[in-house]
Amino acid sequence: MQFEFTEEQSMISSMLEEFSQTQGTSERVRQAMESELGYLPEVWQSMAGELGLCGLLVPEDAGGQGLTMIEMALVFEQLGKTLLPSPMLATAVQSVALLNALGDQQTDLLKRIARGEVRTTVAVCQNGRAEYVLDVCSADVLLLVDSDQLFLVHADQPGVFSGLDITPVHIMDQTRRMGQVVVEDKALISTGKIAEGDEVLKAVDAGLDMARIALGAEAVGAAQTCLARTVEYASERVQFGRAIGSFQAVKHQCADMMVAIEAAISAVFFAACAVSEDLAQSRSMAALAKVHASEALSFCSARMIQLHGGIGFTWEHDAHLYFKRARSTATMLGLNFDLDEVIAADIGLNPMGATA
Amino acid sequence: MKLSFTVEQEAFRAEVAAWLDEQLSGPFADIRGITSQTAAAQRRQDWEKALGVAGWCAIGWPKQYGGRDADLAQQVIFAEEYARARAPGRLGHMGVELAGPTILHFGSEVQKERFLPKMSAGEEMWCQGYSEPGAGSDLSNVRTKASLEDGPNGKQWVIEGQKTWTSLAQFADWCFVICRTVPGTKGRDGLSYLLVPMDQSGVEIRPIRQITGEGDFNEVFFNGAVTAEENVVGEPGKGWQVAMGTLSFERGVSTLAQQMNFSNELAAIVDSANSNGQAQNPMIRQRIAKSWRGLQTMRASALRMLSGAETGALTGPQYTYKIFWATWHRELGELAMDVLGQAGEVVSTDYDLPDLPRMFLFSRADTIYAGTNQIQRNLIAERALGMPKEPRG
Repeated sequence: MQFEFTEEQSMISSMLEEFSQTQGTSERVRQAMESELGYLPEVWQSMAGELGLCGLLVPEDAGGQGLTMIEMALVFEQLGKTLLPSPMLATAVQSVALLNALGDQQTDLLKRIARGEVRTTVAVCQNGRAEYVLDVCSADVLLLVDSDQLFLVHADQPGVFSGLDITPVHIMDQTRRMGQVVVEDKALISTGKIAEGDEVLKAVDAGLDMARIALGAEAVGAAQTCLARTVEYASERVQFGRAIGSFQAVKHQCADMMVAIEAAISAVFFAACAVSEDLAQSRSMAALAKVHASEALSFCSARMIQLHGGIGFTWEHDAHLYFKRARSTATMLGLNFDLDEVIAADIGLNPMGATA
Repeated sequence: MKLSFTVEQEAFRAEVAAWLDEQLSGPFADIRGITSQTAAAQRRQDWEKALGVAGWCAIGWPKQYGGRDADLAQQVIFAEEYARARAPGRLGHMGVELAGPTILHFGSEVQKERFLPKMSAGEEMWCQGYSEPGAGSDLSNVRTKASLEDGPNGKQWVIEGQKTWTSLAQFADWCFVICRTVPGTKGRDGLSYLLVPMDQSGVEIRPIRQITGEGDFNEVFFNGAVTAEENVVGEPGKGWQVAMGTLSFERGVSTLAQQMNFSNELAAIVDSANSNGQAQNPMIRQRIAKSWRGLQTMRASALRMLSGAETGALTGPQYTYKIFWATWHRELGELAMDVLGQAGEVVSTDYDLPDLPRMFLFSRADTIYAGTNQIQRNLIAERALGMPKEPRG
């Protein structure tokens, strides 16, 4: 039992902090979100190439670094601080965790991901359709799940797949890209079947758990920026002859933001440990990390707007970017309310519909 | 960063669990599960002595003072097993967790030899003389004063004044008292940290009946109470630093035992919801899940806080832990009552409350004692976030 970061983990964190702060200036984030791709190709090249971030969770014998969700959470915390857009979550976390859970059968694909050659994502279909699929419009490989079957679909060119109809879906949070997937030619897709049965369902869950923790870590990073910027503003802005941050009505709100953030940091890294060590209740832990951090970001970004006054309501100020990021975080990878039901069913409450 | 325990640590856990279960199924079966601070006080004092004899009273202390030199992981394990075994609330906790660590850190060698072995043997109980009617959140406004005068056995401190909200004073042998020893000073200057025996004619204790109908707290009046000259911790007139040191020990391993108690309470709420059908209410399910999230988070925060405790400067979780758990626990009380419904409001003719309803009422104190939520927010904003200070009168 040891709950401090190792020296290596601290190094990863400070390396990513520098990268995120340099690459994720407000100007560049806005440039990325206004582009069709949704991220800056040169930034992605650095992340996937030089920094090797896509290989973090890939086992060493598949050319990765074989690290854990703790290191990955540290990476996402820093990326979240600046909202720096990239297809990291879909590729390096959700897809890799899913493939890892299948054992060593997809080593070639994992190797390519680790080398930063391909962008991948996961589409879980119902009746041949999947909505709000993350980064599908720029993906090179799609992991398509239909009932308990898993298909590998290679793109003809990024975001274009034979047998699938892909439509971009533009959402309120412009720092993320999503799309709708419709299976048009099932027979064609079926040639890429790589697994079926329980192992697919388990692998999908593994991918979701890891992605929820990464999403939580990202939200925690974003919330920290909301607080830092609000404290800075409240300490400078003068009204009634005093910095507004000296009023308890203002400073207590900042204190509440810090309380929410510290709790969310604890939740995220606790969950990261739990999945890394495969502890009991790690599904619920992953759900808790996502929900807690998502709530912290919703709270902090809303307070950020309120405490900035009118300027916080403008397009020019970054507050709305964080506020909108909070919204997409709350609904992605499972609605917060639904994740609480995952927890409720796991902690001894009788299932819904049971009689006392 | 790792949550799992080693094989040796798990063996230690088994040893602790076995001892606790043997005692609490055998000679101390009658006090197993007591959560009230005041119930069965004599038996709980016997329990403190039994812990002392077996070396479980203050395991984190050095061996020479009756501890076991236990490391953090072992202290975590002991705290968790203690609560899991539903061992009774510690009558000795003011000594073992506050006075003891303060004396270890700030006390003289003579004081350590005199006081620590008695605490770790479970023989002497302590209470905390901080708050006064005019010194609550503004603690440095204390008016209790002491002066050094000639006594039958040399110089002694003579104390005049009143303390309030003093938990467990009625069972205490000693009290650590903050009082003004330099006439004409105000605020944080001129205070001293005295160790005062309770069994003397100059000390009068009056219980305060609280919201639950019980009397955990007391008023303590010092009318010419005395203590020997050497019973001052740290330099006379420099007691504020010592007093603040004591408060920092409140963020210790005992918080993990507290969490296990919370966990027991949440489990009781889940049981109630399952048996009375509230488990079928989606709003209640949501709130129970949220409560579980808070509890897990708190455990992680406590581990972060304790892991960082050696490094000196306060870290994020150290600043935010108190307000988080206090607010969480208050909401747990409200959840418990919503799950229990009207049945939760039924009391006996002598107003004896079942555990969850008592917790609901008692938890209103959580956000007041040891720094109100409002004071916590000031500390977080001004110290942790460096925001401009509130003007002071």
